[in-house]
Amino acid sequence: MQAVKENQNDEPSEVSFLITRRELADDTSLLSVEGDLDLASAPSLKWALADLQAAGSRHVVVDLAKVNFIDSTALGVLVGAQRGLDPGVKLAIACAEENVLRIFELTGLDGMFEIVPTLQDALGYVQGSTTAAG
Amino acid sequence: MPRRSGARPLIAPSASLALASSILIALAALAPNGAAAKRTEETTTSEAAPAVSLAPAEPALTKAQQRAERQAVRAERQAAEAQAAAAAAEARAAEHAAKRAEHAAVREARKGADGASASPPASARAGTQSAAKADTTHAEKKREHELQAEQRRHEREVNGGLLNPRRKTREAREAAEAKASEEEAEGGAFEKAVSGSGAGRAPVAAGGVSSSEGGSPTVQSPSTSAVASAHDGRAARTAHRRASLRRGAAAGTGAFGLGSGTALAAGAESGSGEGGASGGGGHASGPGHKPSAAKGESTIVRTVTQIVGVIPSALWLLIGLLALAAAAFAVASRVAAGRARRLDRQRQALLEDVGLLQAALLPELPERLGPVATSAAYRPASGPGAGGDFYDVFALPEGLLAVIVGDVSGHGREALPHTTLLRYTLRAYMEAGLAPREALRAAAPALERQLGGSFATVVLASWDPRGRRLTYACAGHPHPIVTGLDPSKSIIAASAPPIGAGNATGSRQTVLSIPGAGTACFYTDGVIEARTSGELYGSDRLATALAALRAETADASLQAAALLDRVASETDRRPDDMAACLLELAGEESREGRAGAPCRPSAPGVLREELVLDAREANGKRARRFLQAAGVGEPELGASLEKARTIAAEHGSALLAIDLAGERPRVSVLQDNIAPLRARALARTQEVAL
Repeated sequence: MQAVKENQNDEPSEVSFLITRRELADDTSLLSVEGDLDLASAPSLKWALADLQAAGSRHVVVDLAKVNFIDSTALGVLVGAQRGLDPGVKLAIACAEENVLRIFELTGLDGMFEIVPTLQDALGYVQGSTTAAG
Repeated sequence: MPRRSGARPLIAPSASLALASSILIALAALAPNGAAAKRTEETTTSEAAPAVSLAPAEPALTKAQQRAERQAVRAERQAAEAQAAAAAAEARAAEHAAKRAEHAAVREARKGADGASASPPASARAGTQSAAKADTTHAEKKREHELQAEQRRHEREVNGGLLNPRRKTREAREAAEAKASEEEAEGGAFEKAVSGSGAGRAPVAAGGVSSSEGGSPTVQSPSTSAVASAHDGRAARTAHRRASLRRGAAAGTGAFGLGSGTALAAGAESGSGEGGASGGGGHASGPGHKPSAAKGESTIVRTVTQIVGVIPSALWLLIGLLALAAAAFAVASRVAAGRARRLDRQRQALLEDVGLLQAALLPELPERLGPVATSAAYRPASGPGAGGDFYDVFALPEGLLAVIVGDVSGHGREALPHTTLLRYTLRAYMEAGLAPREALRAAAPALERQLGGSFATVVLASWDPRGRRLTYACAGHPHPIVTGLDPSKSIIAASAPPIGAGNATGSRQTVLSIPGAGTACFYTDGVIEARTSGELYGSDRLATALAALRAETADASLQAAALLDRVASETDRRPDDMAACLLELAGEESREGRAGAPCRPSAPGVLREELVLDAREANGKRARRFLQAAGVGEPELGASLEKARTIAAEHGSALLAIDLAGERPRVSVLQDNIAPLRARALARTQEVAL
């Protein structure tokens, strides 16, 4: 399963929004998000996450490095994804953007997710967790 | 103009060729003293009646001037023919009578010669005269009858089409008049016959002076008058005029006489084509026209009548179709209007229902709760009551004032039941006497079960007017903004998550001191997430707007609406619902408040920050960040965390409380087990219920 899959969604919103999917590792998929995660773009994120979960028990890393803003709807999508994870499957959020981190903090959701600054950290977390779980 | 002539006993029909005769008649009309003209008149068939009767029908056909002209000429011709026919009839009758008289005289003379004495010429003459007169009268009467019959027949033919009732009544009237005049004529003739006057003149009269002879036949009937004038061969023109004038004087001759008069006048004026729109006959009639006008028919009515009369059947069909179409349109529009009204009523009812529902979700706030002026406003992102925002402000038993502002994830109908659930549940816990954080912590598990996957952010607050303290707890919700406090300074570290997100909430609480007058603004994230040229509106802009609000709006109950209006005017995109709830805290009581705490600063400030930690969280980064954000440094930070871990391990959870009122933050670690809290809450709820 080394093949790199790409799934792009263009949202006709004011701020350009893009979700790119690729495989980080054998058992880990990466969703890279660009743009603002708000009421308009949150559904795209929701479907992308749902597709991943339907595909099988794979870890998910959501890269929010290029996200400037995330609203309550998008947070709700992430919360839903987190709560819907199969046992043994992990979700990590890679984000170093101050605004987004502040939003996570403000909403008290920073305690719910594993939020790490880089993709490497995220991969290490999900892989490590998997190893630990296995 | 092919006219019926078969039923004319006095006149030979064979010789009458319509075209030739009409031409000759025209000539006769122009130069009336020619013998040829006279002869022509005699040979002309008895088209008088139809011709004359046609005249009244013609004026209606007035559409084009050309047509009118043609009609005038035709009428003229017909009138002339009528005259000729009449003349011929009379002449023949007279001749006939004279011959008979002669015969009688001869017979009598012979008898006389054969019989007794020589001859009493006077008696014989008288007898002849009376016989002649009687014959003449008889002939005249008969002819008149026929004329009338012919006229009626013709008119019936003409009227079969589109003649209006007015004309028909006129015809009837004319017929009656003609009859009357006929009777009169009969009477006159009888008298004459009896008197036997004008003996030798009877044949002469037949020769053509009947117009001057007896007033009665001339005036009584238009046809008679026409005939009479026609007989006046030497001055036909003058006679025509006179006849017309007489008819006018006779008053009431109607269209029948009018027609002939018209034709004659037109003929006299050498067929002038000035018929125009008013119709050849009508216009040219001159004196004959007046009596009918005097009968009370206004010119407008007549004109309209005439116009209606000439509308061709194709046009009638078109008019009918148009009328049908108009009727169909009228019906359709009526139906549409009815439907629109019905829909409007339904819409009105629906809007009222929505209003009721919205009122249930977003209650009317009391304008003032004790010393606090309250206001709230709500701006849905789209449609009425579309969002999941909710708010409530109510008084608590201990003289406190409670505020609830929240936002359920999702929009539209699904969100509505949840908002009600949240509002009333949280209100019940608040009314049970729990502090905001405790109410959240106690209510969240129950609510999470009922939210069915969705989650809600909420802020609960209570205002203590005596201590002038505002205590609030957020669950994934933005902190309230208080005038005089920098919103960016509020500690957001280790904020409590929303209700329904899976993790325990009701873990954070903040206590503010607001010594002077000020405004506390509770709002939903739609307000600060509105965009102004791509940027978030943010809490800093909101704080600025709030500070400016008091100067702008005098009415306290409209403050919240004014605030949202301002936000709306300063932003270009508002993707989410916006709700705002304002508490305007008066400053009068500040002295009382300060009396108990003299060292408190007059500016608002944070008195206390609280964080509840479970055993796991006590080891985490969030607790550390929380202490750091409150200004707690090492070694107090580490010691506090160590103490919290111990308590949490023992009791399930620990409360970190930072007192910020003094110079330096002071941390206290307390036991805050959720189990006794819930038991207490239940006990208080039961108390409230009782």
